[in-house]
Amino acid sequence: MSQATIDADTRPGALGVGAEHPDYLRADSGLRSWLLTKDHKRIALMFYVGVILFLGLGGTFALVLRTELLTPEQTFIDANTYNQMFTLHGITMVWLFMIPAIPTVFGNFVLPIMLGAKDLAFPRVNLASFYVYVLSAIILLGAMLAGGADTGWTFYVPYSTTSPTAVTWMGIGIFVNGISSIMTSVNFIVTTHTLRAKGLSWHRMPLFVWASYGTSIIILFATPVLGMSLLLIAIDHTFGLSLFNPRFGGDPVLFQHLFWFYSHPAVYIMILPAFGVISEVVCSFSHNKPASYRAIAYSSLGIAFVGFFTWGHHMFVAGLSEFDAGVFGALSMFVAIFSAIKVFTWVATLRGGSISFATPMLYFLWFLFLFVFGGMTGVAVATQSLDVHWHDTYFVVAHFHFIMVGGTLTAFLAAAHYWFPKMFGRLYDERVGLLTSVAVFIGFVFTFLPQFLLGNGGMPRRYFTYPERYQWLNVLSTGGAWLLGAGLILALGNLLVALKWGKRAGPNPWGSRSFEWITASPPSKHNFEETPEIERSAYEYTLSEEVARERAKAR
Amino acid sequence: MSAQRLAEQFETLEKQDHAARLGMWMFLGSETLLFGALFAVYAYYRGMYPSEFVQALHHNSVALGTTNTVVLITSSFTVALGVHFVREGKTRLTAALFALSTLFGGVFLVVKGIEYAHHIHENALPGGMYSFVEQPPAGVVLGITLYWFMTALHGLHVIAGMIMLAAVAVLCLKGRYGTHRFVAVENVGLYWHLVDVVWIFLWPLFYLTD
Amino acid sequence: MISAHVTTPKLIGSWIALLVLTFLSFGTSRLGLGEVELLIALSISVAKTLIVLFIFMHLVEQRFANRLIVILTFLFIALLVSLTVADPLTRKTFPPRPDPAAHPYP
Repeated sequence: MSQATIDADTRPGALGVGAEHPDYLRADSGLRSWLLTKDHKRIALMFYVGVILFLGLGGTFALVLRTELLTPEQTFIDANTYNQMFTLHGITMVWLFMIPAIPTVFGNFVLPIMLGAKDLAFPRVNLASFYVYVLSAIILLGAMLAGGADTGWTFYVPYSTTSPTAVTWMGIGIFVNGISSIMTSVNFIVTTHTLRAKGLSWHRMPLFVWASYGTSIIILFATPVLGMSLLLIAIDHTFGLSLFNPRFGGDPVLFQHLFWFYSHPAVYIMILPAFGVISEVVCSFSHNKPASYRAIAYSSLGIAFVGFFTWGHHMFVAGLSEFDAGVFGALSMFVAIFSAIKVFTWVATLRGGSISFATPMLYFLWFLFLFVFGGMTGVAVATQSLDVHWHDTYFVVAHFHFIMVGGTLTAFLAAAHYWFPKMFGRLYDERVGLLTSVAVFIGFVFTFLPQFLLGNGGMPRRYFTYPERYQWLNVLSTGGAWLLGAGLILALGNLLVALKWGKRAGPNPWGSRSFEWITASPPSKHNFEETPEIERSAYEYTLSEEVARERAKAR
Repeated sequence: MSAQRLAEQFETLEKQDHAARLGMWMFLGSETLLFGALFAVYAYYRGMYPSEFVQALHHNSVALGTTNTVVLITSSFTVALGVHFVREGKTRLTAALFALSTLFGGVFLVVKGIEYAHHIHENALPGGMYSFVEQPPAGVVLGITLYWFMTALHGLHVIAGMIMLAAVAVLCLKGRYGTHRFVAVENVGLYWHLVDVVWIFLWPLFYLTD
Repeated sequence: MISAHVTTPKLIGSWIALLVLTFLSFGTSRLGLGEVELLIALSISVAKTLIVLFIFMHLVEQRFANRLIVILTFLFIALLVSLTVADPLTRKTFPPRPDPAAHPYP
């Protein structure tokens, strides 16, 4: 097997490219070989452990919040602790889980294999990116222990410059975290440009690569602005820089401009990789080529671009001029167009395919439902007249959790199940997978659907007590949150069990035609000994019956 | 020699060099946005306080500012020459030119330091420390604060650039770079040019405000 | 790949052009033209930047990908600055500038 040709399908009995070499998990052993590895697959696994830990931490904060809101009066924490909890929940989930989650774990793992490359373009930068992430996590955890923060994850001035909590270190931690994101995104873009295999033209690449490319562009150009605005806050908090201080004529609204110039595109940093995962999952499990490859690929870039024009819709009631608000309101609608293109293309992809309902496919269905729901309410809150009513209520909280948790987290779980055989060479238990997926979905809907009603009824966000008439909806929401938490723990448990006792998967258990399944599962250390030559697109499902039979055998 | 330099994931040296250059350009783009945020702050406050903001910057010394502009542009030129010669293998010349550029960077910092000392003497300081005039009108302090913050951030970049230029100059003398390997030299040069470009915009914004 | 080549005369020419533009910029700032001055000064800065980018930074002889990064950088800065500045310049309902005397801040 000197020259791997990707057109050669992995037939029953074949082990995939590179199977004659020891796989990347066993190629070297010892702690040192992990901590100093330059292998993108091992770095991905280290990130995997990191983001799962912070998902757990952020989730714990969320459960504390929801439990506090079980009763109208104080349940078990006081107002200050509550403020701390929602701030830390936001910071942990946004910067330590959601932004790095899909790119650094699954992007790192599969992107080079999808391109037929032996590694990312800059393996050392990739490793450094992990340690910078760890450093930022240490700074943020230290800040949490040494005073925490009670400003909300948005750090709005003037409060954040005078808050007695550890705002300075939070700002610095997030700045460092941004450096890690930028390193990863530089790596992805350069890899996509320079390390595509022979014959892999741009329009043959798997759609996940397009999504990662768009994400990387956003990270590259938006993150520095966030870094700068939080640096200004940190310096102001410590030395009194007073750049946003009304006493000297400063305008606090300007900080919101700078903050949302990053943090609105950050929503697309979270959701675009999810779109990539979903595109892969829907094609693999309906054994069909995407209804329109270019529509999905270009709309990823379209969202990445248009996402930069829309930040003002967070500031409609902050004192933004009517003109600017009008411009931002109108531009925000463009995102809906690109998202709708994607949703319709995914649904159309199902048509005529031979669909198999494995766990990732089920997550795709949940994703579709939750994302459409979250997206539609997004159009509603981007409408100025409606936003005045809903701003800073639970309606907004419910909306962005539908996008972020309903979109990104379900896609993360879909990816975790879909690429599990690729990463570890074993199959998880399908029945448990399906059940936990249903639990996650039901828990999610019970958590956040009542919050739409609460917000519309006028319950403001960020309060730890509320009038008694809101209680029954809050009880539903809290119950849902516990179910969601239990579902996540079970899903994780299922994967952990499969790590040791799962059935051997073989190179391509799903019968996917995407390029990452050409190599052995798990792949050898160098993925490919020779750069492969690619003679088709990633979605040629012409042999669907044969593939279906193969899949039946693998189960 | 060149076979050792090729990392395993690349097919050809040409691609590897292209990757290194592209990565550097992306880093520079990202870095520019860091200043971009501050330019937005500048434009915002200058739009809000057209006269007071400018008035605050008025006592900056145009002579010193313009001197620094000429110094930085010339240093950029010597760096560009150095990069040109390393491609032709004249590494000693490159080392000399980079050392000269480092020296120009030092001159820039000295002039900047003289200006800063002058401002400190006048109490034209950022934020709450400002007391150049009693009861300054709204916007004046913002102008001074931004001036300090942006020039100081630029100064940090100058220092970082000087360290890299000096390191490359030494490595050139040791024979690490030459016709066989020069992308790192180019990339350090690119960084220095970015420092120059940022100053090209800072100069009219903070000194030529009549 | 290389279509144009940066040579020593070109570098020296660019350096002289940069110095000339610098003094042009300095000269126009002494004329007292008011608001237009800023526009002229910034246009000259853009011209200087283009010289540095294309000649000193060898952008003329590099691939399109590198130029794309430059284009995107300029585009996003323009976007950030223009949409942000549009806010205070078009405010009507709120006073465009807070008056410290009217609203004393503790």
